[in-house]
Amino acid sequence: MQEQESLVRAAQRDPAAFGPLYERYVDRVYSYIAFRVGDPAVAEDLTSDVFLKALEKIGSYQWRALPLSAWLFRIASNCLIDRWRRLAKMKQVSLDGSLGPMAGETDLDSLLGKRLTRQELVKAVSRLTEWQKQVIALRFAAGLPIAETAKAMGKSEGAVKDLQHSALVALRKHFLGTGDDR
Amino acid sequence: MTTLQDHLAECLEIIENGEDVGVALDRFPGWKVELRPLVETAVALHCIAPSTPPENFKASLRYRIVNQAQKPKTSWPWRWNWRSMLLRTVTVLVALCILGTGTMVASADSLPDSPLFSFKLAGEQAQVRITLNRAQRQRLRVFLVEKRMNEVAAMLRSQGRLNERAIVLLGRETEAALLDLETNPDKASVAPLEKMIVLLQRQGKLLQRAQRFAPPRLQPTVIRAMGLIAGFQARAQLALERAKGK
Repeated sequence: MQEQESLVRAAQRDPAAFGPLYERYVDRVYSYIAFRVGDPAVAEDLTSDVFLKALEKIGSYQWRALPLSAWLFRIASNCLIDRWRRLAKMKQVSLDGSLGPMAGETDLDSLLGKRLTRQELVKAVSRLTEWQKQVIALRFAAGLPIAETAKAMGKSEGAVKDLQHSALVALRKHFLGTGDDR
Repeated sequence: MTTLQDHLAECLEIIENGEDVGVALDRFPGWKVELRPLVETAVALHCIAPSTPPENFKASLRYRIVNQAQKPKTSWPWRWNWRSMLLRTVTVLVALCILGTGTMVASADSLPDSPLFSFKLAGEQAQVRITLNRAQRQRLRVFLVEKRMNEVAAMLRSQGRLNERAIVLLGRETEAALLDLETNPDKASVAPLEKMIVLLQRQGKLLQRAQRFAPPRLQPTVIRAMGLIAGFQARAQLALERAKGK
């Protein structure tokens, strides 16, 4: 944590020192966005927006107010919302915002006892509430722990635990109950 | 009062810190039945939800950020980071993430010449992937190197069983562990690095033994692996010094 704080300070003194922060978070931020939008090209555009905005605003970032990861994922979340608003205005897509099929579609023999594909995950996640989707994306696509997820969402840890639980229950039901409902 | 939601979060945190799913569930004897299906779903999500950005995209965004920062003098740190990132870029994931408990158990003692071995590898990769705690992940990786060494040793003991795959996998596992350990090493990396150095010494001796007993067709692979050891040792030593220096 101290190392991260010193990286942030260095980037605040000299934006060119933003590099290590980019390296540290780019995979997670991309994964989170890709999970939410489903389209790798869009995920790349939005990930670029997030880091360019972060670079622009790093000078005004305050460590005490929010951990860096939470700050970055809030920027990411705002970028997603902006995009969905733009698209809603253009009436091109719904405000669903769930993940879609990605390149390199993955199958796995899961503990669920059947083959769980990314397609099924797409379908199941689309039925979750917006907050549940957000928790699943931050926890499992971006790999944030509960505490950081809570800060990124501006919610209490208890609320995040509740959302995580209800989302997993819903996903589990979907995976087990709709195997033939494709 | 502690609720199922709390136990679920705690159990997942234990798993994310590198613990085996079964062992983690055993810590919640009164809640095991309720927790198991949710934990299984969460573990499956950990395997299927993440995606990795393409390297060319990362490089081009890096370039844009450097330009945006408009500090040409500072290109040094970027170059350094690019290198360290390349080093860190371990095999990205995991086409198959086999979590079927029965198969996993059956494959636990399998050797690289067994059909079940792929299940074992996939399970290990999944475990590495969901271990978010860096120190725990480093320890896990070192443990996997030792496991690969034990497999090579076991195959050497059963004459004629040693194959190319076992040696190649040992090299890959060692490289992956080393990459993780030498990327920004800190105090928590000291113990796994020390263990890694000991393992690399043992690995050198193991490969010498393999060279003596391996059939001629395997000799080039063994010799190549032996050639890598000195480099691995130097890198581990350097990372250890950096870790101690912090």
